Amino acid sequence: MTEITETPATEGGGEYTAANIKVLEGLEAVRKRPGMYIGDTHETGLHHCVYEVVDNSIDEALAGHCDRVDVIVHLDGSVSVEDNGRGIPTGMHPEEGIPTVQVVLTKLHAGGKFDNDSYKVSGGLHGVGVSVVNALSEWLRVEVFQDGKYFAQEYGRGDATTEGKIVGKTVKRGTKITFKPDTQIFETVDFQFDILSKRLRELAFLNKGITIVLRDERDDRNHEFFYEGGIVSFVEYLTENKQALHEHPVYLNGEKEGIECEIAVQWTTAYSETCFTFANNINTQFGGTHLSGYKAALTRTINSWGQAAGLFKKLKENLSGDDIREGATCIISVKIPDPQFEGQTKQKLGNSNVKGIVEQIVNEQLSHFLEETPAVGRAIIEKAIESNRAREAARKARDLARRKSVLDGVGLPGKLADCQEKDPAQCEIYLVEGDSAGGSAKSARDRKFQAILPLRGKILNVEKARFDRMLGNEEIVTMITALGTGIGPGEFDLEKLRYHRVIIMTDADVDGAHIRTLLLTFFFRQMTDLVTQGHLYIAQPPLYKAKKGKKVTYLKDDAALTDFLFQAGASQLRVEAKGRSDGPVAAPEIYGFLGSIRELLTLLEKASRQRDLRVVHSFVESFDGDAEKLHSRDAMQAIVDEMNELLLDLYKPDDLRLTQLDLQHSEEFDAWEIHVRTRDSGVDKYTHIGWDFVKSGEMNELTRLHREVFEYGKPPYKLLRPKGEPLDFRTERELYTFVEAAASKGYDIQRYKGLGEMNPDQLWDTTMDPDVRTLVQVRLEDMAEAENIFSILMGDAVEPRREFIETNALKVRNLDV
Amino acid sequence: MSKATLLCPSCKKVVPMEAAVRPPAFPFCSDRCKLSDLGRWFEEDYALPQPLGPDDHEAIEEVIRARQGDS
Repeated sequence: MTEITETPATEGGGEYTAANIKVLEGLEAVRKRPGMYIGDTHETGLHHCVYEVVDNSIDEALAGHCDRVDVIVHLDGSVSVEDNGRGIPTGMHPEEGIPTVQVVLTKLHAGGKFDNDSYKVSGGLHGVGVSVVNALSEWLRVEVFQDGKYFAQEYGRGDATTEGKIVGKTVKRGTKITFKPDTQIFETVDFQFDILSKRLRELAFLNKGITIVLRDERDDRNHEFFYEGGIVSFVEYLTENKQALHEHPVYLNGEKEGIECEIAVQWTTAYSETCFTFANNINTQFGGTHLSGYKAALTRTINSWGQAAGLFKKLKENLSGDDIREGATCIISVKIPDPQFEGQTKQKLGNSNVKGIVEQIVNEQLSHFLEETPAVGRAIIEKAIESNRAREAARKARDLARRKSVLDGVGLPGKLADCQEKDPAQCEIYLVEGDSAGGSAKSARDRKFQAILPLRGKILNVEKARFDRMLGNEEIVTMITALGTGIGPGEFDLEKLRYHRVIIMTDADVDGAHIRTLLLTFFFRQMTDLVTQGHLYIAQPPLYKAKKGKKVTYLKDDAALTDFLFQAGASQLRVEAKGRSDGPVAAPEIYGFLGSIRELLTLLEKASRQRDLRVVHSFVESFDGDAEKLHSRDAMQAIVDEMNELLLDLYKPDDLRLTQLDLQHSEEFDAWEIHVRTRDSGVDKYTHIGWDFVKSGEMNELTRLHREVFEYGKPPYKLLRPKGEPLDFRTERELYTFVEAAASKGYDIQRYKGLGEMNPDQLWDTTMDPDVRTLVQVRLEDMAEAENIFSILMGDAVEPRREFIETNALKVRNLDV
Repeated sequence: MSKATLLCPSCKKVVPMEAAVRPPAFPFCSDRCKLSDLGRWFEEDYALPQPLGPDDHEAIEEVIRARQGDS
């Protein structure tokens, strides 16, 4: 290109006459080397011809003279582009002596766009003008509607085939160019609706207010693109199927030194960044100065705002640009009088002054936006911090892997008591909670194949009302190092697992349960394959030791203990009960019967808390599980009467000291609630059986268990013993208490509070000796359920957690492994 | 809770459970989610449970007791 006129831009509405058109170069070479002008002669080049013509119309629109462009693909494979602009000048060109429109169509680099006076900015400058399209068309027809006159002229392969002249009158205004691509040039002449549609939509987004219609006569498809919101609509279009962090895209715009800059950006929950940049409507795929200005200013502005707002307390350093832009969908559009494009494909903006201008606009306007809508700022920063956390974690995971390989396997943690065996398939590692238990386990183990790693839960805050407990960073790193697998996507490698059995061994107390929950969750989330491949186990240390003479039995929990005692002490017993058709309850049915009573009583005790257990029990007996009854005074009165009868029947007035048993109406739930005052072993008891309690999961379970017990038989019960007289019991509770006491007779029962209480021999005998121990293998399904529990327990929302605990307190035991 | 899915622990998006259709980052939907979780473990962000009132304390102990009962 030579002679580009460098006149300063003036108002675009100036004169547009023959004198504005300058001839720059001839048209000869176009047909010879089409690739040089339109890229290629395949699909891309073919469609480029349409854009070249449309760009002229867009220029008219940018100058404010046109607001509609119609693009039609015709049945014969030709395409017409019509606008309602001023029309290409048709008067004689002063230098060439032919109609100006003919100059535009036959001379390369001829056009108003090369004169900043006519078009301040122009989209088609990367191209070479409509003359190239003419040169590459089998035929082309231009029609100009101007000042009431209708001008037309036809061309063939770039040369005029008719004289350009006024052929009639018109009320229209604008230019229409119809062309049929030359099959001698193009390898394909088949226009694709979707390709055209994509670019035309883009142009409609980039030039707000313009209507672009695309119609395909071949199949009657048509689209009309009109976006009042411009690039804001563009961003909304791109984020349509994503979840946005804020409702409306952020819109920044301004004009400096004749450069117009528009930016629209919206953050979504996605993890990738979408950013399209344009300069004069050209998609600058490789970015350039506008993009770098935006990035620099965005990073700086968000960081300084976040610092000032005190959101970076946990961060070591500022957020990176990548973190900030995660999930952002952004459109940057600049319009420049003389764009310079760089790179092989001219898809990178080079104008150096653009960077500073974009930066300034972003700085000013984004700061202002953040001040105005701090909630959006916080959401963006929260997301960026999360991204930063992930990036940091990946770095740490890599460091861990590197450190290990440097040490070449010798760098095992000092706390680990490793085993002698080197074949992972033979090895197991016990993750033991607590140092004292770790010590016991170290003495107890078979060092040939059993390794011990003591882990300590870290207490976070030891206020009364808190019992936050966690696995410290050090514990996690130690564990990962001992297992040898590495951690994190791309780093974790199960093949490197040093022990094929990873066994969690914790105390049977709250701390132990916490550590176990944390470990299970960690393994499930971060070492999932370890679980799916069946490498994770939970040790089953006993909770009780039952000793009779020299015979010692270890029992893992309450249920196991009573089952054991009943097996020994109740096998000869039989119970006669009401409503049984098939004789007394006897072994083995009696074990189930007593087991059900035990569950009922255990839960009754738990549910009663401050309440009087006897009263709650009488309610369970009188209540059928239908909470709707609370709405009816009569139904509740019947229950109260029955309770009264039961209580008076079962307990001596002096023991019970029943001073109140009545109904009161609760406005809140429209329910008749029971209020009872009693005295139990010298302590005053107030029992309130209200809507909440009746609707609770506990009551639900109590009703179920009570029904289960009664299915075996209803009271009163008669206990038939091999020796001694039959005994009568009025309730299941009395029956159970007697049988349990009888069965325990002669046994010395010890309850272990922690692993540390067992001596090494006991620990080996009960929990670690492969020949006798029970290990529970953790299955993925169990983990998924545990994960849900963990998520709720860890959650920030207090209400769902409370609700969960209340309704699931009874169910979780079945979910845990 | 359906057996076939669970929620990504980080972003709560639905993640399929079935082995054949599980994402590689399972139980997370993506590596990014898995890494941000890993970051939380490294940063000692996971403490069980968050600050609670006395009522919660009792209730959680119950959960724990119940869970131990059958394990």
